[in-house]
This record gives sequence, C-alpha cells and structure tokens, in this order.
Amino acid sequence: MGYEGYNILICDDDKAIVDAVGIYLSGEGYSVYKAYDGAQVFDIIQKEQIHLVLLDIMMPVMDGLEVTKMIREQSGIPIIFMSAKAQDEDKIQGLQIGADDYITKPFNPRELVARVNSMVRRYTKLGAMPADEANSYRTGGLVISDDKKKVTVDGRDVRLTPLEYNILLFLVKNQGKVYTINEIYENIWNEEAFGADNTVAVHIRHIREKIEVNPKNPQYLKVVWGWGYKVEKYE
Amino acid sequence: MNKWFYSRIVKAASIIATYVVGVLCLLLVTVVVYYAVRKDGIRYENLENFQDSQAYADALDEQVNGLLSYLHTELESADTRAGESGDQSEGYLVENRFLEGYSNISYQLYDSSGEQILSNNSLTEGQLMQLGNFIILDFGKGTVDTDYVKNMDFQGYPERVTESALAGKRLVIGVDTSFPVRDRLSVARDTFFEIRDSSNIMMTLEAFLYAVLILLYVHLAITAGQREKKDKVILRPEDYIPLEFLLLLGCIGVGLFWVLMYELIENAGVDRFSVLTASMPALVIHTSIVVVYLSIVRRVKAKVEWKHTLLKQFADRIAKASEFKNVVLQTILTFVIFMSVNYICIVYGNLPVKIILAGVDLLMCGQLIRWSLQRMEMYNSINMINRGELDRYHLDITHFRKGSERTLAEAINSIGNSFTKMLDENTRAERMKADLITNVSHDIKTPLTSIINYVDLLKGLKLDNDEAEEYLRVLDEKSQRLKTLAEDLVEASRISSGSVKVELETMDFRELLLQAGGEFEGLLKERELELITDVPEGAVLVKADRRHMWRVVENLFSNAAKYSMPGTRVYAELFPDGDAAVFTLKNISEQPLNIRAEELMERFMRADSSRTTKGNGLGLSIAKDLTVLQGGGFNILLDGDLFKAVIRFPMDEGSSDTALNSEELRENL
Repeated sequence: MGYEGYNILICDDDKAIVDAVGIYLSGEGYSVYKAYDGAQVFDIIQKEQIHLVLLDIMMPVMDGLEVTKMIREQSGIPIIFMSAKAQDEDKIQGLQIGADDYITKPFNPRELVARVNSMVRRYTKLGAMPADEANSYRTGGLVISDDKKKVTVDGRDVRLTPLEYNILLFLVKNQGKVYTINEIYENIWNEEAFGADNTVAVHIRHIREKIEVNPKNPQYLKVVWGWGYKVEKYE
Repeated sequence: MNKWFYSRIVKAASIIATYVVGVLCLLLVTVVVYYAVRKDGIRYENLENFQDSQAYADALDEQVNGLLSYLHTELESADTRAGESGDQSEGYLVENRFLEGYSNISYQLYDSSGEQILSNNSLTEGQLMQLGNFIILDFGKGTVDTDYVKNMDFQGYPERVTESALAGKRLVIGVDTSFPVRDRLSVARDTFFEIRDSSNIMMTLEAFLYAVLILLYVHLAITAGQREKKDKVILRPEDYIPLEFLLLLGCIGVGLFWVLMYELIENAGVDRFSVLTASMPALVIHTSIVVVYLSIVRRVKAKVEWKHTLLKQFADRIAKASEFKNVVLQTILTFVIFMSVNYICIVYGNLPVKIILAGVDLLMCGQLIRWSLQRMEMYNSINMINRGELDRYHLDITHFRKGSERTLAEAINSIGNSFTKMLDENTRAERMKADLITNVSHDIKTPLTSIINYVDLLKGLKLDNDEAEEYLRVLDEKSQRLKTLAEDLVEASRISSGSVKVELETMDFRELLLQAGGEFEGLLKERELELITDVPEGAVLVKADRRHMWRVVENLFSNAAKYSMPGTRVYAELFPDGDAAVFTLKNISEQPLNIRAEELMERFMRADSSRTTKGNGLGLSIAKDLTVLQGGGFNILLDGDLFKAVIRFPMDEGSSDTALNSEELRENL
C-alpha cells in the first residue's frame, strides 16, 4: 500500500506488546521505532521524523497523558492511545488532552493496523483530498463524489450498492443531523414508510461494515440508539 | 489537761448557759409583752404623765363604775332601809371605798331639782372641778361633761342608768390627781412609775440577754456535732429521726410558748410567783427548741439535711416503685401529689403559702418545658440519624440532668457515631472493592493483549500443521472469551457500586428495536434464525439512557442469537401495557433449560451449567442491573425450552412526536 518511509513510534512499558505491534506494522511497510517510557518518546521525537505515535497511558517515569501534553506544545503529530482503561471518561480525557484516537486493550491487531493506516493516510499526502468539486461531499476522511458516484475513506475506495450509496449520500449531505429509519426511508424511496421494516437498519449495517475500520466502533456512520442514524461532521 | 477537755467544759457550760439565758429571755418576753399589752407602761415615747397612760384610764374607768354601783346601792337601800337590810357585806366594802378620806375621788349627787342628795365631801362644785380631773354626768339630760378626754367613752354611762335609781339625777365627780389618799388610783400611779422607771432597764436587760442568747446559739452551732479528735460531724441519735418530726416538735414548742404567754397575760397576771411557776414549762419549751435547732445545724453541717426526712423516704419509695412497676403508676402518683398539694395550699393556706405555691408551680412549669424541649432535641437528633444527616445530630449532654436523661442522650450520640462509622466503612469497603476489581481487570488485560496479539501472529504464520491450527483456534477462542469476561467484570462491578452515570432522555423504543434488528440481521441469518418483529405503528417513547438501553437490548438479542436452536424463530414484541411500554424477546433454547429464572440472572450463572459453550454469564446480570438502574423492570420467564425476556419501562407522556423532530435536538446529538 505504500507505507514505506513512514515512521511509527510505539511506546508501552510492556515489551511484548511493543514487539508484537512492531511486527504488524513492519508487515505493512512502516519503519518502527520503539520506546518503553515517556521520556524515551521525547528523545526519539526530537531526533527522528515520526509520523505517528502509538502511546500507552500507564507508564512509569512519565505517563502517556503527560507525554501528549508536552508533544502538543510543539507539534500536531497524530497520537493514538492504547490503554486497558476502557471507560468513557478515560477516552474523553485522552482525546481532550490531545490524542487523535483511542484504542482499548486487548485490541484486535488488525483493527489497530487499520486505524494506524487510516490516520497516516489522513494526515499525510497519501490521503490527498480531491479538489473541491461541485458535487463533492466530505466529512473528515470520508469523501463522496456525486459526479463520479465514488466513495473514498482516507483515500481508500469503497464499493457500495446503489441503495447504500443513496443512504450514505443523504446522510453525508446532512452530516451531523440524526434521522429516524422512517425519515431515511421516505427520503430515499420517496414513499410513506409503514410497517415494521428494518431494511434501512440492515443497509446501514452493511455500509458501516464497508466504510468503517471497526464497524462496532464507527467513526463516521453512527447509531443514535432509540432515535436514528447520522454521519458525524468532521473538518 | 488537753485542749479537748477544755473545749468540752466550755461546750457544756455554753449549753447550760444557753438554756438558762433562753428561759430568761422567754420569760422576759412574756413580761414585756404583758406590760405592753395591759399596762401601757412601756412605750417608745416614754410617758411623763400618769394621767396620759392607759393604766390611769383603766383605773379611772374601774373607779367610776364602782362609784356608780355604790351610789345605786345606796339609793336603793335608802329606799328599802326600813325593810330589808340588803347585802350588808357588799355595801360595807363599797362604803369603805368611797368614804371621805378613803378615796381620791370626790363626788356630789344632785337630784333633778338641784338639791344635793349624797356626797363624800364638803367642797363646792367649783372646788370639785378644780381638783384635777372632773366628770359631770347628767342622767336627766343624758350629757357628759369632762376635761379628761383620753380613751374613755363616758357616753355609755348615762345610757346604762336610765332605768335605775340614778335616773334624772346629776353626778359631779372630781379626781384629785395629786392622789393624796392611798386608793386604787394611787396604787395604779405608783405601779406605773415603778414600771416606767424600770422599763428602760428591762429593755436594756432584754436586749443584752437576747444578744447573749444569739451568741450562744451561734457558738452552739459552730461546735455542734464535734467530738474530740474527729473531723467529721458526729450525728446524735435524734438526727436520725425524720426531720419533719423534729420540726413538728419545734412548732409545738413555739405554740406552747404562745399559750403560756397568753395564760400569764390574760389570766394569771404577772408577778413574782407566776413568773417562777412559768419558768419550768418555759425551760422545757426552750429545751425542745434548742434540741431541734442543734439537730438541724448538725444535719446541715454533715450535709445530710435531706437524708433523714420523710420526704426523702417517700421519694425513694416512689423511685424504687417506678423502677420495677410501670411508669404510668409513677406519673399518676406524681400528678396526684402535685394536685393535692396545690389544692390544700390554695384552699387552706394563707397568702404567703399561696405565694410560695405559685413559685413552686412556676418552677414545675419551667421544668416541664425543659423536659419537653429536651425530648424535642432528642427526637430531632434521632430523626437526623434516621435520615442520614450525620453532621448535625450530636447532642450536648451538659443540657441533660445527670441520670437517666443524660444516659439517654449519650446513647443517642453513641448510636449516631456508630452509624456514621459503619456508613463510612461501608462506603470505603465498596469503593475499595470497586477499585480492586478495576485494577485487577486492568492488570489482566495487559498480558491478555499480548496473548491475543501473539496468537494472531501465529495464525498469520500459516503453519502447515493441522493440529497447530486447531490449537491456535482454541487459543484464539479462549483468549477472546477472557477479554469479554474482563470487560464485563469491570462493568458489572461499576454498576453494582453505583459509579455508572445514567442520563435519562426521551427515546423511541420502537426505533431501537428496528435498529437492533438491523445490527443482528447478519448473525441471525448465520444461525438460520428468523426474526419476527411486532411493534406498533407510531413511536413508543420512554425515558431511558440510550447507551444503557442498547447494551440491554444488545445483550438479549445476542443471547437469542447465540443460544437459540438453529432453524427456529425469534419473536421481538413491543406493546403498551397501561402506562408502561413492554418489550419481550422470545426464543427456543438449543440446550435444555434446567435452571430457574432467578438463578439464571445471578451472576456467573448460565443455562448450561457445564459452562462450556461460548459466552460468559455476566450478560444477563448486567442487563438486569442496567434496566433497574434506569428505573425499568427486567424479568426472565422459562417454560420448557421457551426463553422469554421481559422489559418494562414507564412511557414518557410528556413529549410528543414533535420533540424528536426538532431541528435543534437533531443536530445536538
């Protein structure tokens, strides 16, 4: 995929984890740098050009939050937290400090890799955004070009069925707003919704599985339980 | 000789002296009072003139009366002289009294025509009136003319003689106030001067004696109860007699003294003989007074003034009775006593007694108020403890009287303290438990991460070994299960320790179910399960926490997907029941359900007790806790192979469809 030349810094006080993640990322083509506490992270960042940092939170000497704060004073390098603390408060705190993503241990290594790829693409030239075309809609790394009927996520092409495409386009055009199943149905099929039909829900599920790195933890197409669905609005 | 011996002598002497002096004082008091009452000889103004005294008035009154009856007798016996001789003896005595030269009183009796009938002198009327005092009684006209204007009501005289022989006559009396003759008047005069002259002496003597008496009383009080070589106050036998009896004795003594005095003054007259005879009873009376006085002094010195009294015995008996008998009896008793005392004092008491009673009643009222206030204090304190307001319940025990009240107050404080301590410990224990679980599960997750990672790496190595592949598959499956278990463990402990936030919002249950159907479509299809959804047409709004609700519904659907017999149907129903929304999920279990519903929901319980199939046991327990946390109801019904989960939530009537459609809300999620 062409991730050669990109440097990832992995930091965790558990050597086994660092090694395992290193193997995965090397497999993708990344150059891997290893650190085992916060202070080392700092050193390495000063010396080398790092494109993404994978950071554990609970570490001796300097914990992940401290490190993030200090890094953020100088640069906007993408930072992904890895932590066994899985509560919402922990995730929110992490993101507020300045991390870009948060993944909980134990994680699916594949998912971790996908997230890393996603973030690298987004923050580097690889994920170059197409010129703002007339019928182009975008949120974060998700881009829909209505002229070409093309959907890309962080530069990666996604193949959707016409129905899925329509649903996604509708939601992306109205990004940030929640729509009930009935409303989506009426907008797409142009007829009254009736009956207990979960067709829309099923389609949403399929879309999620296609565009999201982790469908269970979607970044773009989100479920608002008891209300409906929306596409998150990003810069 | 040692000093104690001397002091004993002194003490004995002082006691004897006290008795003697006391008696003298008593008698002196009698004499003084007597003369003050009867003879008017002792007055603060110190009379110069006998004529100004009550003694003169009394003596004169007696003389005039005597004269009138003498004249009366004379006139009548003159009428009957021819006949009976009358009572010679009486006439003889009276005759002697008013004969010329035997009395200081000179009289002339005129009849209605002005002719002198009787007389004991040869003076003219003018000369009579110059003697000193004169009294002219005109019985015909009924008038009185006199120059003695002191203390006497001569008007009475004419009225007395209207019917008698003196009627219509005129009597002129002259009193020679130089008292040349020795008669009753002169004797009265002599006595007057005697007493007057000696009154100063007597008063001085009396004051002196009283001073001495007081000193003796004081000295007795100081030395009362002391014995040689002992510092404590020694009580004598009489000190153990209930004080009330002694007081009664004292009162009797004082009462007897008044009686004695009354007898002396009114009936016996005070002279040397009567004084001597009075001294014996006076001595007895005074002895009793001194004994009572000393006994009181000793008791007070020994600080046992209340100890040997009837009152205390009575109170003790009440107290003892109330310890074992019921409180009602005690209360009634107290009330009856109080009312009786009030009644007696009001009906039979005089003003000072009533004033004292009013004071006592006020005190009682004050005490009742105090008791009520204390009860309120204690009541409030207990209430606060009960409501869990554990910062202000503390009672100030100095407010409460020593004894049962204070013990109660202390007990309340103690209860509050124990309660607070227990609560604190409980909270701490809960928090420690929760922290422990979080920390442990966190510590489990770290090595677990490596296990999962390296198992995955091994899988990626594509080992050309069927057995190795199989082993890896097992490792993968189990490590995934460990992961789920660790996550559920933290969640379950957070829910039960109450550290989970619940944000209740209005949400559409119907929409949620359709969404769930969409999420699980793939999994259900995989296991050849057909989902049949039966929901109402419109929105079904309830107040719940979105994410928790999803967790619950997800758990139920997941269970249905995992444990249903393949090829069967799963029924999801949503319907209103009264003011609640009810959701049921029914499926046929693949494994036999050989367990009771309640057991199933206990943590770590599984329908398959061999615990080999996939999934862990916390799901239902977490689902139930989450439901209850949001204020809903969660129930499992098992019937043969039918597994039915029932969830009830109160419907949210307040909002309508429009709420969900507002643009503002839409964008703010």
